[in-house]
Order: sequence, then C-alpha cells, then structure tokens
Amino acid sequence: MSKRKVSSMVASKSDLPQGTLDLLILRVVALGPIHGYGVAQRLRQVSREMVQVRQGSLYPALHRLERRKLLVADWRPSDTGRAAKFYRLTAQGRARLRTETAEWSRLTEGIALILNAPKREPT
Amino acid sequence: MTRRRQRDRAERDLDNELRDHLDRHIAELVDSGMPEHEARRQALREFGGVELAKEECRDVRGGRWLFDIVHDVRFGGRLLRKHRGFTVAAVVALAFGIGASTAVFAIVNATLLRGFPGDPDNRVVLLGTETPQGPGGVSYADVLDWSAGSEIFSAVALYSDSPMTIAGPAVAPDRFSGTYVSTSAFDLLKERPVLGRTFSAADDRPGAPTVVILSQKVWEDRYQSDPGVIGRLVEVNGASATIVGVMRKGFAFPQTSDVWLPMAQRPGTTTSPRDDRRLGAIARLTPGLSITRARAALEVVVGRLAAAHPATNMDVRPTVRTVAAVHNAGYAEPITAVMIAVCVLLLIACANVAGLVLAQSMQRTHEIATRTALGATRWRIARQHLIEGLMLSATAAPLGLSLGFAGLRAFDLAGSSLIKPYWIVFAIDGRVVLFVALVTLAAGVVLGIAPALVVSRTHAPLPMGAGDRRVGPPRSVVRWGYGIVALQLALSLTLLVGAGLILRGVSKLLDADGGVPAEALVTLRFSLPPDRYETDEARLAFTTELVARVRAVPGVTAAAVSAALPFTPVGVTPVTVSRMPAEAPSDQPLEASAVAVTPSYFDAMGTQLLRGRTFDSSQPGHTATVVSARFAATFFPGQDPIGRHVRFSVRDGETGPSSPLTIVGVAPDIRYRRITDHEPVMYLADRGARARFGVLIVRSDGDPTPLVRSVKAAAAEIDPDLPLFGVLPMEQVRAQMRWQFPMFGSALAIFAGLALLISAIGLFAIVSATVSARSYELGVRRALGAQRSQIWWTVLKRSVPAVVAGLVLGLGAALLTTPIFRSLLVRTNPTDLPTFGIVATVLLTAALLACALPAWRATKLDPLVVLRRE
Repeated sequence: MSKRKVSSMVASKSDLPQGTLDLLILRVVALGPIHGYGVAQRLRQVSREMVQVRQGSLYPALHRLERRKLLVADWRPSDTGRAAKFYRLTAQGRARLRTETAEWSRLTEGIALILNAPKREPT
Repeated sequence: MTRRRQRDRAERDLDNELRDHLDRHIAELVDSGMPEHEARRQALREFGGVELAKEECRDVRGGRWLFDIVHDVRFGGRLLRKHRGFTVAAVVALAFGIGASTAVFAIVNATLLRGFPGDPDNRVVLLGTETPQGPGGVSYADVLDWSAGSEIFSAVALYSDSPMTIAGPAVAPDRFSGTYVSTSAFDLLKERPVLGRTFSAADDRPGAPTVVILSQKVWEDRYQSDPGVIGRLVEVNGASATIVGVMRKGFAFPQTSDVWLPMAQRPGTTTSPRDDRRLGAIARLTPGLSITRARAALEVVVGRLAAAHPATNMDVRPTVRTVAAVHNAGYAEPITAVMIAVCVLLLIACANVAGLVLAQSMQRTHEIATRTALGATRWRIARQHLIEGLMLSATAAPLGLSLGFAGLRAFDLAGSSLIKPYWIVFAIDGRVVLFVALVTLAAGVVLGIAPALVVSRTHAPLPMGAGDRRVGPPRSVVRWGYGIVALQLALSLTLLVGAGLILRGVSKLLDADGGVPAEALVTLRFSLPPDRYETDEARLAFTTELVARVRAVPGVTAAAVSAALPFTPVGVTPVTVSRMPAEAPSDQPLEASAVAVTPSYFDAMGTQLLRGRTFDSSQPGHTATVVSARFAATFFPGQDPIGRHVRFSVRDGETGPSSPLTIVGVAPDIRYRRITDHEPVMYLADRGARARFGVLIVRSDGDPTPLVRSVKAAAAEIDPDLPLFGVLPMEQVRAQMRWQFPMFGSALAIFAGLALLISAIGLFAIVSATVSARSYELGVRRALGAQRSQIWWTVLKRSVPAVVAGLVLGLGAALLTTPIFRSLLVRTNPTDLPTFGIVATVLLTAALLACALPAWRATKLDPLVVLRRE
C-alpha cells in the first residue's frame, strides 16, 4: 500500500507522520494479547485523545503486520462470550519494535535539537 | 485447502472481526447512556466506512488479484453482453485492425523474414561477390577454396540457371527453366523427392551418365503423373539423360526452375577461370556460427586468395546473405511502408474502439460514481477498463486472424499469376500467430488504458441523485474523445494521401502505355538453334512463315514477331542514333532503344500510329524506321520527323554504323527498359525477322489463351523440333513489370479507406453519445425556444474543431511522410496538389456527415418526450 494512502487514513486532530501507525500498534500489542477494538481504545486513551486514528484503517494495518509475521493472531473466547481475534507480538515483531523505537527516538531528538536551537539575534 | 475455501474463510474472519469491533464500541457507548441506534450511528461514523476497510484488508491479503480479475472478467462479460451493439461495433473494428496487420505481417514474414522452406532458422545463406564491376556470383575455383578446409560452412552447393529443352520419348519437345546444381544441393536444402531419388555424389563425377530431375509440375503436365517415368531416357538439350527423380510440388530452386541437371553436365565449369564469377552458391552455416562471424571468417579466406591470385582476386569481397536479404532489395521499402500503414490502421482501429469505450463510459458516469462512492479505488476502476479492453481484443483476435488469413489468400491469389521465387510461401506460421498475440495484447492495453486514464482522472462527480442524466459526461472525457477522433482523422488523411499519390502514379503509367489492348494479347517465345538456322535467310524464312501460319489460325486477328517483349528490357538493343546529315558540327547523338520487329508489329500490338505510316510488309523495310513519340520529341523537337534520315550504331561497338534509315512513322510510347518512364525507341523492321530469339505476339478477338494450343501446333508444322515456350498473356507481362506499384497502391488504398470508415464511425459514435447524454439539456433548450440552428450549433461546436484539427494535423503529417513513398511515386510529386485536395475533400465530407447525422437527430428531439423520460 502506498504511503499516500496511509497518511490519508489518519483523521484530523493531530496528523500521524507516515509509517508511525505501525510503530504505535506494535507498542500497544507488546503489552499483551489484545483485539482490534482494544488497540483502538488504547491508542485513544494513552495519547489522551490527541492522536485519533480512523478506526477502519486500523485493520488493514493489523493485517499487514500479521502478514509480515510481526504479529500473530488467534481466535479465543473473550469477555463478550463470543470469540475475538487476539493479536500477539512475535519475536520478530519484538525486535522490530526495539529498532523502530530507537530510530524514532533518535529522529525526534534530532528534530527537537533543531527546533530548540537558539535563534540568531539580529545584528 | 483450495484457494476458494481459503478465501471464504478469510472473508468470514474479516466480517467477524469488524463486527466484533463495532459491537464492542456500541456496547460501550450504550453503557455510557447513549440510545442504541444513536450508539450504532456514532460507532459507524468513527469507524469510517466498513466496506472501505474491508477492501483495504483484502488488498493486504495475498492472492487477491486473481479473485478480483475473475470478478472483473465476470463483470466485464455482463457489461459487454448488456451493451451488445457497442460490443459488436468494437469487436468488428478491432478484428479489421488485427486482420489487416496479420495479413501484412504474414506477407512481410514470407518475403522478408523466412528463409528457404525447410530452413526455419535461416541457416542457409547465399554466397556472392562484390567487385569493382558491381555485385556478382562466384567462380568455381574460388568456391572450392572457400569451402575446402574451412569450418565456416557444413555444406556448399553451386547452381547455374539455364533454359532446358526436353525432347521425347513420344512427347513433343518443350522448353523449361532449368538449373545445373551441385549434387549436395537437395540435401543442403533438406528436400526429398516425391518419386525416385535426388542426385548422388556419383552423378557429379566427370563422365558419369547424365541424370535429370523434374519438378512435379513437369511430371504432371508432360508425363500425366506417370510413375513409370523414373528410369526413362529423354533428351535434354540434345543429349540423352535418365529421369531419376521428381521433386515435391512447389519446389523450384533456386527461383522458378522445373528441371535440374548435375553441375558436372554444365560445359566448361571445372576449367572455368577464377574470374568467371557467374555461378550461384548456397551454403549451410556450421552449427553455432552466426552469419556475422561466418562473414568475418570468409573475409580472411578471401584475403588469402587475393594474395595468392592477385590478377583475378584483387578487389573481390565476399557476400554472405540470407535468401530474403538477397531477393528483397527491391521491395523491402514498399512492404515496410505498407506495414507501417497497417500498424497505423490498427492504431486507428484501437483508438476508435477506445472512442467507443469512452462514449460508453459517458453513459457509465453514474455507475462509476456509485462505485467510487462505495469505496472502489481509481486503480480498481481503471483495471476494470483494462480488463474490458483485453476481453474485447481477445474476442476480436480469432476473428482478426481469420480475416487476416482470408486477406493473405486474396493477396496470394491476386499475385498467383506472377512468377515469384518458390521459397516465398504465404502462410500463417508460428511467428505470425505470435505476432497476432502481441498485437491483440497491445490493442487491448491501448484501448483499455485511454478510458482508464480518463476515468481515473475524473473526479467522482455528484450525479448520485435522480438527475444523473441531466449532467453531461465529464468535460475531460469529452475532450479526450474528441482528441482521439482528431488523431484518427489525421492518421486516415495521411494514409489516404499516400495511397492517392501511389495510385495516381499507377494510373498515369497505365494510361501511358500507348493504349495497348493487353487483355487481347498473348506472347510466346522461341529460340532458333544456330546449327539448323545458320543464316539470316533461314531465320527470316522461319519468322515470315510463322507469322503467316499463326495469322491463319482461326480466332487470331493479328500476329507479329519481335525481338523484345514489351514492358520488359529483354531483347531491347541499346543504340546511339545520329541525324543524317548532321545539322551542326556539335550535333549530339541520341541514346535510344532499338526494337527489332516484323512489319505487322503495330497491327498486332493494336496501337495506332500518331503520324505517318507503318512498315510496308510487301517490301521488307530495310531503309524505313518507325520511331516513338518520345524519340520524335527529343530528337526533332517542334519539327516533323517524317522523312528525316537517321543512322544508328549498336552500343557494344562491334558493328559499325548502319546505313541511313528514313523515318516513316511515329508510334505512341511504350515502356521497355525504363520502368517509370519512356525511353526514345526506334523500331527496325528487317531485323525482327532475322532475330535468333524471338517473341511471337498473338492478338485475338477474345481471350487469347485458348488459342495457344493451335498456335503451338501451327509452329510445329514448320519445325516439329522447335518448341514455343514461355506462354505469357500480355496483361501478365505488363503486371510483372513492377507489380509492386498497383499491388501496394491498392493495398494502401483499401487500408486507407477502411481507416477513414472506422474514423467516421468513431466520430459518429462520440457525437451520438454526447447528444444522447445531453438530450435533457437539449430538450430544455428546445422547450425554452431555441431555434434548430442553435441546436445544430450547440452540437457541432465541439466536433467541428476536432475535425479541423484532424485535417490540419493530417495534412502536415502527410507532407512530412509522403517522401517515404518516393520509390513508389511514379511521375507524381510527393506534394501533388490535386491528390491532397481530393483527399481532404473526401475526408471532410465523411467527417461532417458523421457529425451532422447525430446533430440532425438532436434537432428532432421532442422536448416533451425528453423531459418526461426523467
């Protein structure tokens, strides 16, 4: 799927930079097996409603990660009484989460440095 | 698990997962105190399009393309069935395009690409030489050195054409095209006899008994397919020979031969000098060696020979070429021109179908808007068009192939009277089928892509309400449509101009042949053996007797003998003519062609003299000559040539100038040596009667072909051992002279006419579609009191600029491209104004008619009917 489409899935409030949805999902799933609705909820709660993802776009992302073997899923009984699809991180997914998190931190630090650099005084 | 079941499960899982999500969300909202229907609405809103999400999930899933394509094909099939009229029009247009290009590719394949039959990989090459005197054959001694000890060729064979007369037993002698060949030639060409055997190495030894091989045609015609002919003793060129084999039907190596003798029977071959380069040679390349490498290797050998034999081999370079390359030097360009024209035609057919598809998609705006709103991506919609395009072209392909095959048959039949080399076989082979497959694919993609681009760029309009019919097609679609129409018109115009120019040249040529009634004439040839017709008197006696006897055959209205066949350079003598007496010291002699004839020549040819009289048959015209109009115009401009005196000398310089001749008449121009122009000709009456090789010209009051038998019988009464051979109707003689001109001219004209027709249909379709899409608007205008003329203008104001643009573009393209046809343009300027004018008028008329019909229908719209339809 093209990058353009990913960005278009993110609704207003705060636009998610390209490619970050995957990272966020991996982070949320790393906490333990969770179903799709749980991921959506968690994203909303943890970001204090600042980051809102169009819920429909969550599923293609989940399926993509599953297909890339970063996540595995199985159907198990849930609190509603019906079976739900629960996602877990694979070893591969865990490794990816680590590298991507490091990458992301470096990037944001770098950007912060630039943004916070002292303004040149007009002479 | 099958793919299908896998897919079904994935679909079910997807459904369940999304439903689970929504259920949880709704439950949560309901828990927080929201009424259930409110909660459902909000959950759906936040989810943002269930179908879209599903589509995106399916995209993620692999193997989906197959499912989609099956789906698209089914959908396309339903759609094409629903719009039957459109489908049929599109398939027919495509089939024409594919058919035309198939036929022409098969012709190109047969003449330019294929080698000898039995040599699909073009491993057999023709060897020759290039000397300062020009291109030539090979010499016996050279070829021995070329093949000895070298690893360039796995086999080499020599050949040399020679007419052969077969006599007896119990059958009248007849003359055939024959060839002396090395005994290895048949194996080299992988040809087997249908009867008996081919030559063995023993047949090629000096002193071996003479053996002869016949073509199936000779075997059928001369021996009534008698299998007992093998082992029979016949006389070939006066020496006895045993028939050992009959070759398959169609085999006529090297070109059109019917009789083969071993090379050893050719007199003086083994002892011929190194610079006697008159033999032909074919060779089979050593496996794995490319023709380029073979050429380079042979250069080395030839270089060594030049050092060893400087006197004879100094500036000799070898040529190694495929049979097609050797024989097509003349018509490769015209064929290529037609090939280009046909590809252009295919392009037009595709563009036209694309136009129809566009016209269709205007009425599909609603459908596409709906699908877009439901979450179909642009790619999805574009792919749908692409698949429809491919389905159309795939449906048209078998039809096109059949049309192409029919066209090829027609071409073959039209040219069957022409004597063409035996290895040119017009057939649909693997290469042609591959070409058709490629063309089909390309056509499908082209006609799918145009509308796909347009539609994917068209933003989903909002005709979702009731009024979809009220909104016309998107502007960009209309603009594309007219763009394509303009392109089509431009291409058709270019083709039409090309065809027009060629045909104009052809008609000028035919008109220029002095009104010879070719259809009533037949020609036969004879050659007088020097041992029996030693003196001029003996030959004169035979010729005079022959003309008299043939003239007496019932049905024959005139007969004459000439040394030259009209419309061919055979038997024409180049001469230098001077005026008698010289008018000035600086008087330049005239280069002319002398044609020796019997006095009845003009009578037999059916041409009226322009001035003066013809030869007086009662007294052989030793001192009289008839000259051609061109001769008179060049040598005696503005003067009366009758009664003037000239003398000529034959250009070989061996004989001195002739005695003075008096010009008694002026004949219309007939072409002899020059193909596209007339040369000055002088006719000599006495020499025709004394020629050793002669052409008998017979004129009848009807079709002359049935007379041939009685004419031959009449000749046999004079000399039973002298066959008349080479029977050729005059029409064929004339057609043979550059048959490419009329052939390719009419082929181009047919293609160009088709192109124009298809373009006009395309224009008609797009204007009609626009009108029907705008019928509501036009109805409202009528209801509001618009005049008919205003309606006319509303409809035409978009199409007329397209027509004008096509016209201007086409004229420009024609001006740029017609010089390509220069080799086919006879006496015609590439910028010939009348041709351009006529073609432009024809095109304009057709185009305006195509626009006017739907426009006229638009003025007939009943506002009430139109408005009520909504």
